[in-house]
Amino acid sequence: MKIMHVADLHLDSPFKGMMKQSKVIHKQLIQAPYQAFERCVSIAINQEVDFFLIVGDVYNAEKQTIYAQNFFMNQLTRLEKAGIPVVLNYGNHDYLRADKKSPIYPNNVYAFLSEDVEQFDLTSKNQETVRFYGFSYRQKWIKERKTQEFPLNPGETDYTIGLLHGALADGQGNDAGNYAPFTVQELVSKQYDYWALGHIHQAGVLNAGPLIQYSGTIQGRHRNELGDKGAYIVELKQNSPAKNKFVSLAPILWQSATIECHQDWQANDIVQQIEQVIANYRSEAEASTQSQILTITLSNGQRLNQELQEQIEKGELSFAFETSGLEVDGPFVVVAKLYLTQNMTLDAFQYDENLNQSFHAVSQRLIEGNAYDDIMKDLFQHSIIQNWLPELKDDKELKHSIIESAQQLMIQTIGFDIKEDTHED
Amino acid sequence: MKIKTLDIYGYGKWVNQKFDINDGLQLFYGQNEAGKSTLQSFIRSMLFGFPTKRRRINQQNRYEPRHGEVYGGRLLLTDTSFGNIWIERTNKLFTVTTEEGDRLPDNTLEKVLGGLDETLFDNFYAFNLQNLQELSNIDADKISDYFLSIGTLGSDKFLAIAKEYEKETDGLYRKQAQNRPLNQMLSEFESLAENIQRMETNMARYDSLIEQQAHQEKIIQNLNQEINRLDLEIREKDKLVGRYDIYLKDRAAKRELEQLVYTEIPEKGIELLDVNRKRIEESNTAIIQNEERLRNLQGELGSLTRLNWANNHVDERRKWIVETQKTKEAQAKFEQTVERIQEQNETMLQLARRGQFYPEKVSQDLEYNEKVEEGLAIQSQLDDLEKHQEAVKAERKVYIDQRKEQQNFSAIVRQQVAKLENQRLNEEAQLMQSTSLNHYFLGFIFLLVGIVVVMINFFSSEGGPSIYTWLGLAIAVLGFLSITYIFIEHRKHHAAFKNSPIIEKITELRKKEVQYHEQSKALGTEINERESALEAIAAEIESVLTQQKRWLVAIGFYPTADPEIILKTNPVKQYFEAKTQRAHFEAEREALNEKISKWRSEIKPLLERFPLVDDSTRSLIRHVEEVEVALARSQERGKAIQERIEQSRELIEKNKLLIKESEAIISKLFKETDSENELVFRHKVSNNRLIEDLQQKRTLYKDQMQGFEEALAEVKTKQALLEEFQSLEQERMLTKERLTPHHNERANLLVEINLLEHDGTYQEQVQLIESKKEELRESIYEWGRKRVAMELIYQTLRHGMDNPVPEMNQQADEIFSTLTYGRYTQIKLNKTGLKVKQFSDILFEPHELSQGTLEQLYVALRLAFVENALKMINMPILIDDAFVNFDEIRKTSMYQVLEKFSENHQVLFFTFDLQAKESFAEEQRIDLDEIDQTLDIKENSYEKDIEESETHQIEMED
Repeated sequence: MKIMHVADLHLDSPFKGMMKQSKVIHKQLIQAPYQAFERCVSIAINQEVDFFLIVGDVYNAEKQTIYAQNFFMNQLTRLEKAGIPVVLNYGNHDYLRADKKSPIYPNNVYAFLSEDVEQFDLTSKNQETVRFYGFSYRQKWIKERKTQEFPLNPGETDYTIGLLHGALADGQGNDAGNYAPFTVQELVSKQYDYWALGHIHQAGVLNAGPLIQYSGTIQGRHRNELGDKGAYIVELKQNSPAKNKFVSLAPILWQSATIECHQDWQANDIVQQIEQVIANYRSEAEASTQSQILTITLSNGQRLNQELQEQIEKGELSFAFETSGLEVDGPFVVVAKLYLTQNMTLDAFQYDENLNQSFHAVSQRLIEGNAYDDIMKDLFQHSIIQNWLPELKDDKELKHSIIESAQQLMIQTIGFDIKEDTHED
Repeated sequence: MKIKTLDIYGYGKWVNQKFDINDGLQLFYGQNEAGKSTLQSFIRSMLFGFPTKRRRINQQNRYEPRHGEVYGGRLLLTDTSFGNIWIERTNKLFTVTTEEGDRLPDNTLEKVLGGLDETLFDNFYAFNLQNLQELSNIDADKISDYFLSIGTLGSDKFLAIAKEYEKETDGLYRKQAQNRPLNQMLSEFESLAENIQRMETNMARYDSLIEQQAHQEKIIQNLNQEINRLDLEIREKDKLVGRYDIYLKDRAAKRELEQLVYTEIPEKGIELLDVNRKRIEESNTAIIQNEERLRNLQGELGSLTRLNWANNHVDERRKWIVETQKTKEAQAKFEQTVERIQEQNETMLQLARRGQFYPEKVSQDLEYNEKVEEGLAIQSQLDDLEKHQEAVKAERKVYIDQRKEQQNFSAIVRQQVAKLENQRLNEEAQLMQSTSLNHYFLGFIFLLVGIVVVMINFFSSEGGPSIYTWLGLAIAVLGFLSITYIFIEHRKHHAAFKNSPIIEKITELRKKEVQYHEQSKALGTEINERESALEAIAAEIESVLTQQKRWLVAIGFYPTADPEIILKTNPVKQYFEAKTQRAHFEAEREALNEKISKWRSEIKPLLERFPLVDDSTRSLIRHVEEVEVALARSQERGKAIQERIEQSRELIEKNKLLIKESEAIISKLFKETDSENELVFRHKVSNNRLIEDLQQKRTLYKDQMQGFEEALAEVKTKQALLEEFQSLEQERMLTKERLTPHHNERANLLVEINLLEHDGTYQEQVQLIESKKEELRESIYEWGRKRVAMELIYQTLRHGMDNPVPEMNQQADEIFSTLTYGRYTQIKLNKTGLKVKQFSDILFEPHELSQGTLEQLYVALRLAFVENALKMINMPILIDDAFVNFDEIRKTSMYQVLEKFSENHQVLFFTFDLQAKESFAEEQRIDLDEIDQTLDIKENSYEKDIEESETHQIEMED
């Protein structure tokens, strides 16, 4: 029995962390998740899978775009025509609001609509019986341990499969508790034949027997969602371990690369290095027909001269990875972001203990006190930001990078001789 | 830390130069270009590294030696935490060693410097003129901050950087601004966000659209069902309506059948009747046709009147035709005769004209013959006269010819005379020429000369005749002889002229001429005689001719007629012969005319029947012949008609027979069917047929009504049925009409839904705003890090300012007081700012102080700071002519301060100030101008080189 396991489609979710791109790329970005899912359905049809599981977060938000809905319906209809049943539930992103009815799906779709664990008994093409357990989100968070509600495998069917959209309780971030937290042990104890998990965008096998795994998202949308994305085709057979095959779906991949700066590098050296990185990924892209979005980190930036660092920070080097030349369809390679990191101590004022103390006190206040908010409020209290981007105020990453960069900037501009981190010596 | 020794291997102008330096104050005195700056740079280079492109912050020049010496040198540092150490730095190596030469780790220097880099060193330990001059450029409100900042190490520079950040971030964003990049980005973001929000409201509409669609779909479905039901009903009703008509027809057929009787009729009876009826009909028609033809033919026959006449006059017609043939010939002859008579008349008329007579006047009798004889006599007389006339004319001609000859001769003679006279004139001219007087001239000359000579000699020479006399004589003789000779010759010519033969000849010819003249005169007389004779004869001929004319008229001829013709041919006779001939022809004509008249009377009966207007004989003949032909034709036609009449009669008889046969058959048929007549028979036949028809129809109706019998039986009337049908149709129509708006509504919904479903704009906008967000983040990051950096600087400094070191304050007070000779006693530093206290206890703000005092304040603070920093790090101070602008008094106090300061601190003072040179002890100073003059020369030459090369270059550029 073959199962296609896919999750976290986030069909209408845009690519984050990319500056304005060329039209062609822009178009490709928009189309990428759709292409990925369409491919997924095509593969399912070609492979003649018995069941098609979608474990939550089909859409990015509870308010879905019509285009995405229409697209999703069309794909379900394709599966219906191919005679493939679809079992799906709603995730934390596209949770089914209380005031909203579930859309009318084609007849091959079995959707868990309740927040209570429910079941569907279906039959495979080979007349094997399968029971699916699952639940859907009806609100943004589910803090209960839903695993407790899943029954022990009653053994009434040939196979039993669980669909769970949630976070692993042990160490998957601080807010794992908001998303139906579970432990692998809990799942194993249910004695199911397969656990199809959703929510985490990085594919990963949590347990081999029985197979418990996240399929990950189908298309990385952020520089943190690195590498290839896709789905799993799982083959279950009585009395033998499950066969597991990853299917690549994403037409666009996020990649990260690091370039170590050298003491005597000038702008053109860096450009050359970046071009080399781009060239490497270009050959990758051409081979796999998957476009590549790169995040390049220039480490040990302190080794470059002050002016050059400023230029990089201001994005003046971006001409090296301009996307304007990429006006053709087909896989592209773009640099979404260029980071410059400095590995150095912040002991700038060691000649003056007094000042040094003062500097550290201020830095501390920036990081922990409200100094950062005081400084940034001039900007964050701008009506537009308050209206549309209130989250910026609490953006920790932004805060962290700003403070760090500010320190480095100050030290550099003032012209202290920079000392690389001692632990490097 | 102090610098003990500078050992320069090669640095700028300095090569292999060593300086030992005081622990306290060390003055380097020298004019410009003496190498002060080079030395300062050397110290910096040794401590912090050679200037590179990257590190050129305070060292504008590079100092690689020019002549291939080793670049660099070494410093001996004392009072370091590692004791005395050598810092050696060249372009090849960098070592730190103890005074004893033991190698120390490279980072020893770093430790010695305590984290101080070149920038900081310059900020804290180096003074120059520029530092002081900057003071005047600081705004009044900032100057307090500035002085405050001196309290912290190098903070003036930090503040400048912070200010720069502030400026940059303000350029990027300001809360109230519109056009700053970040502001613009924000408003772009807002418009995008608003756009998306609008689209989201659209999406909410989508659900309601879907619901509406379902609703409409249901309504349409219901209505369609209703319509289907009605359709079915209508179809049923329609069938009933169609069959009801049949039902009615069936009922009628049944009723009709009930009253119809069937009669046995032999097979094909009606056909037999029809055939025979037709035959009778046809025969009747044929009879009528032939009777009609018969009547026509008989009529035609009757109308042929000529036929009768022709048949009645058969014999006469034959006689007429024969006679007419004869008359035809006679007529031809008659016409010929008439023609002849005409010819004869013409001949006669012609004869009279040719014979030049009047026919009525002439006659043919004896009298006429006599008269002719008379004419003969007159004619012979006339002939004689004419002969005579001819003879005389011949004579006259001979004489005239002779006279002409004489006259010719005379003319020839006259011509000859004239010629000769001309010759005579020529001769005279010749003579004149040959006897010219000129011929004598020479002779006379000779003669005269000779005489003269003789005469001269004669009178001049007494001694006898000299030779000249003889000679003269000879000449005179010669002249005389010549004259004589010429004279004789002339005479001869004259004689010859006078005796010329021409004269004789002329005389002779003149005589002959006279002779000819006389002879021609005699011939003229003869001619005149003959002329008169001719005139007489002509008169006579005239009279005879008159006589002859009179004769001609008398015998009936024209007066102009030629008598000769009359006499020789006798034209009158011919005329009369022709006349006789004519009379003969006229007799013949009369005979023929009589014959024709007789024929005319014979054919009168014919003309009576067939009259002819034209009465000429020829027309009559043709008429008779034509009539005869026409009559013959009429007879033929009559015969043909007769034959056709016979034919028709036969046909009539035959048809009558046929009719009888058919009638017999018919009457037999009637008897068999018991019919009185054909009408009855036919009625019976049609009744039979009707019965069959109705029966057939009824079976058909039955088929069609199969299954509907009961329903049909229940129908009241057709009207009721139709009304039911129409009401159903009406209902269906109404239902369909109700459907239309729902269809439209559904279509509209579908369009809208489709539009929403396939509109990718939202996706695009979402991606766009995400990109914009990133852009914005990037800018916020840029703005934020600079802002934070700015604050970091401000706050770090403020922190330092908030906690000034008390010792430093005290020190600053002391130095300031010394510098100002006690005018100012205290510097008050606190959070709010800096003030100075005058000896009068009045506090001044920095901006209230003079530039000079500000400079002193600055120096005081800087020195106090250095003093204070001693705990952390002790570095020599480099002063680069900072005080050149101070007046003498201030300089004095300044140098005092330096002197004092150098007790604890090494001070390297580079200056060209003479006062400074004089202010310090000799062991404290190094006069650079006095060192190594050769190097100066070198440098000069180098500079010259440069100058040269520069000028060269300029030239080249030119």
